[in-house]
Amino acid sequence: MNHSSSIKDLEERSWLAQHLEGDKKAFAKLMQAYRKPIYSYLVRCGLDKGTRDDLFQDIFFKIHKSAQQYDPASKLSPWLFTIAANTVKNHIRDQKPDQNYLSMDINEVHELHLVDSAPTPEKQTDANHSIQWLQQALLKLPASQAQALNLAIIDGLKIKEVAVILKQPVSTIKTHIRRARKSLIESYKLKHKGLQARSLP
Amino acid sequence: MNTCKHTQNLIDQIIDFDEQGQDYKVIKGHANSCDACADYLLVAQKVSQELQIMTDAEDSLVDSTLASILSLQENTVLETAETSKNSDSQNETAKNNKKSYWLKPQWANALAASFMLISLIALFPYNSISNYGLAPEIMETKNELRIGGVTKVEKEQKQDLQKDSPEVRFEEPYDQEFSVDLIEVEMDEMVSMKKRMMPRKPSFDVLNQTPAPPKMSIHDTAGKYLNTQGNFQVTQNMTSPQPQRQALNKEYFRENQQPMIAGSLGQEEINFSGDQDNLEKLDAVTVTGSKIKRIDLENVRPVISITREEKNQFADKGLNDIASSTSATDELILIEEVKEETIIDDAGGANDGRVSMQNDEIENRARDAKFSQKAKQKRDQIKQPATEELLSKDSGIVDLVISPKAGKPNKKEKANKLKAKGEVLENIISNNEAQHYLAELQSLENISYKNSSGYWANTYLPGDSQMRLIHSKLLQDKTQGQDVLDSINPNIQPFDAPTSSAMEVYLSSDHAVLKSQQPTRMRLQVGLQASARKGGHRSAMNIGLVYDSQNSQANKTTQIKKLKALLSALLKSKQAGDKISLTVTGGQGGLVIDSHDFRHGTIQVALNQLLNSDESESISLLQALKIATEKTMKTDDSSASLGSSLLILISDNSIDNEFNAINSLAHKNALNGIPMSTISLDAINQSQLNQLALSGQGHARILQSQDDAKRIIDLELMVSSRAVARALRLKIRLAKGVKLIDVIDSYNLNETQAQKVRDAEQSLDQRLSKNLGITADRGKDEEGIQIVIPSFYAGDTHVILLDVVVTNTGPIADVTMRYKDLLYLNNAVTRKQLTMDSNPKELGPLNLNVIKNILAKRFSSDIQAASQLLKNDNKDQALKKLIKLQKLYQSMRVQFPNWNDDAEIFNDQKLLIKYIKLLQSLSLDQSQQVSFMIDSLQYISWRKSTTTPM
Repeated sequence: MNHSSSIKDLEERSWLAQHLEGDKKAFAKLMQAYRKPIYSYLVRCGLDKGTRDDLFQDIFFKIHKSAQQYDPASKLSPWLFTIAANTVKNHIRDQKPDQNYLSMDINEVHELHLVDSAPTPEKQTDANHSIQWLQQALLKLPASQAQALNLAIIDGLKIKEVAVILKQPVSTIKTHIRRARKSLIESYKLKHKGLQARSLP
Repeated sequence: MNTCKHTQNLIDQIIDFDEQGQDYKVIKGHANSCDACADYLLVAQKVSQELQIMTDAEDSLVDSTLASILSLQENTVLETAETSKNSDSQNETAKNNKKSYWLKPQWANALAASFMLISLIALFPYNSISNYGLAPEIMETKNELRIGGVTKVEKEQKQDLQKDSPEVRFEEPYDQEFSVDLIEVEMDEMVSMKKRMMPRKPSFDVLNQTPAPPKMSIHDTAGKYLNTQGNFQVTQNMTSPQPQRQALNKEYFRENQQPMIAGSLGQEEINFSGDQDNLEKLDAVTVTGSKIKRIDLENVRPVISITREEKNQFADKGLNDIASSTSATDELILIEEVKEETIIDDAGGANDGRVSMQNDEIENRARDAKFSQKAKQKRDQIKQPATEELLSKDSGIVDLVISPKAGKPNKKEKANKLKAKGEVLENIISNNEAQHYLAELQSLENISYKNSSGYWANTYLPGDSQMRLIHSKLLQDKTQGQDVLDSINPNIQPFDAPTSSAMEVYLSSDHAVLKSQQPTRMRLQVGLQASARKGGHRSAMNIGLVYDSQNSQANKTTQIKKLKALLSALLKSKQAGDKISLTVTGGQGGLVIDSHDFRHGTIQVALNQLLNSDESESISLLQALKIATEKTMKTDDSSASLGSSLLILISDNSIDNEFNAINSLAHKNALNGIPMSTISLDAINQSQLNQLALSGQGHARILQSQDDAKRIIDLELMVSSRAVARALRLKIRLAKGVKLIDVIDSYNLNETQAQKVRDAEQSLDQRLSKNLGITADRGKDEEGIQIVIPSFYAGDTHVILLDVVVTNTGPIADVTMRYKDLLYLNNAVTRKQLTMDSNPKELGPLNLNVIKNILAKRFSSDIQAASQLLKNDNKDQALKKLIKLQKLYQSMRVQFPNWNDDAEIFNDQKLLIKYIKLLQSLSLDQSQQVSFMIDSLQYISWRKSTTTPM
């Protein structure tokens, strides 16, 4: 772990304790740091906007309520995403199957985090299409694979931590990830073959 | 396994493609030759990129969520966290009891919704997250957050007030299970809103430092209680506003604090030059006790000193300008006769200086009030007592005027003694010596240039056995030895440890600017910094011990005891998998303990055999080494890490006849991956053993006593795990127009020596490629100055100084360091460049660091010279050397005001004064004392020049 990420990690671990002591900035910092990762996670879970917003609030509510149970000796992100994963799981379990559909609204994409810079309009359109394709591809995956992959791609979460969150062996998680990625790669290839076919004169 | 399938499996496993990762390299290696896999990799990378795309929640959603959570906190609605049936939190511990909601989840949601509504209506304008925005810094809201009904400010003040008023009672820690009356909460909310709108007056008289009487009392009828069920109570004072603390910052102190005059000083005042700066830095106290000046209050005259602007003026100049400047010198000369002198206890140390400095600052302000505006702008020069003053004997006690003692600096008796001797402090410190020194450093006369290419000797030599010997000798002196060892340390270099590699390189100069169109002589500094890391478990060792017992001058029994101590220490440190053999010279010599047989019993038998050995058919040292080499090679595991196989030569003899042959054997073994270290049981043949260790790429150590055996063995065994980089190759290229005078402390290698360096480098390259998979990439010479360092150890720092002449502005030099990174298991390269122009610029901290290192070299060489002079019974010359050096240090501190706060420079100067005093009182008849002094000076000289640990 490099030096800067270890400092960030140590800082994060103190937020909940400060929040319990009454520091009003602490929880705001926590929300600021994790709003994007948690919301992106919810997007990748294939939930509609309304549900996403509800679960987003619900997750932070639960974080606040469970703040006293957090042990600062452990990293914060696995603990947070355990709450997030359980919240989603509970929601899906409580909902009827046909409600768990994708209703991806392109306009709902508020900010894109791209590696290089703020996206140009062309890039924005491409990114939106990418998200739509990705959403659909993720929905097609078996739940266990999608869950494992969704958590594994979160920055700062290691495979071991994902295994703990999902309560599965590390080797199982690795297998899920491998299979999920394989499926996504195949799906991507198909999509681009389709695009190429359409673009041919 | 099909390589393509294997590669694709690897690709499927990788989440984010790290180009430094081992897996990625394997994939890339195959993809370069397989189109299908290359396509697959490309697609996988694109998929990864798309997976990393993040979507953000709306600001309003985040705002409202935060507002409701904070309002929940504020209204003390803390529901107990339910660990749900399916809760998978990995941070659940046994101490958290499962609690059940007293409210059903649906009701809790309704409750939460109603709170949200209330908060949105009533609190949103006052407690909005929109102030936070997306900026990394969270802006403060105007209102205080209440937790448990008490604000943080109230809580802090309560704690303060408790000290003064026992009537104020604390609230008891609240239990998690409690209920809150909603109506009360709402009322409380309205009340707190009103309070926030009320103007606040401080009830805490900051200026007079008297706290206001406590306002919060459980019996205060003016207060209002929040009547709650449960275990806690919250009191609120409705009538008086909340006390508000002023920010106690420097400005406040400056404005409000009353100056205090230390009564014990009487009419004395202590003034420090550079106080202009210090006044503005309350916490940047100095230990510059040497800058003491005392002024008679009654005969106060305006004092003159260099102003900040003038100081900056110096800083702006290049070093060559400073030497020629004369106006500065004139202005620096100063004042007054000293009325009294405070004798400072040498043991006071820096902390005393700090404490007194604060008092002194206060005194300065009091004095300032009396002076004219002009006098305030210019501070008087530090007046340092003459060296003769310092050296006046005072019953053998080392009393040094360094800094005022904390709180009670007055030692009038001693001061009066000095005064009674009629010694008047006359010398005025100027920066003449510094200017001469700097002029000398800049001088272009009588210099010759060297070829700035080819191989140069490595100066990074971890550990020095000779110094270890002196170290242990000094320790034997119970009274003063430890002081000497503790008194000196090498300069700490301002290099940041690398975070994502094993090594980092830094390049800087002692100049900030260049004079265009004129040649400038300067020093370039190449700094190397290793990553600090914890020592790991060491690999299994394969050690061939060789003990040279023939012709021993020392008592055989004593030497055997030392050998036994070493073997016992080895036995204790031995781990499963370690193989240790023992070969001895002399009669009945040869392999006496086989590598699988290293046990207590066999060791004892072998030692007995040594004691009773005869001289017939004796085996020579060269023969014994060959036997040991053969044995070690046979048991060598070529896949083990470098340094796991090792030869250790234990000797107390001089090696005359066979030295060259043994030296060649050591070098050859090192090339084959078996380094050789030496352990001397006596100091007779130390230089020979040092040479052998150098050729063998090992370490030279001295076993001074049996107690030292464990330490030496531990060091030797852990060497291979301490290394973070191997085969470092430094390439320093000087730009066109830059000429090399010298690489300080190093020398150009001849072809034979250079070839040895190449061979050693290549052997490391091959071995590491075989063992660790780090691609072999050596074999070619490069342009520029080349320095090869076989190993670099965790946490170490090393500095290489180059003396050069620069004629043009622009690029000056660049340094490239290639090495085998043992932390990340790859070939690593790091590069730095230095360019300079002629735009006026102050000397920065890195420039000053280079000057400090140059000064440290001067310190080291002068001390070494003094030690040598003393060895030749030339005490007076040795004393002169030290006095001159001390003056130089004093002068340099005037020249560079930044060094006023420098503890290292201060300590060095303090040390010099101490040794001047000691030397002055030393008689050459006292051979033991003289010997101690010689050893001390030698040790100090060495310790100051090295950057590696002992």
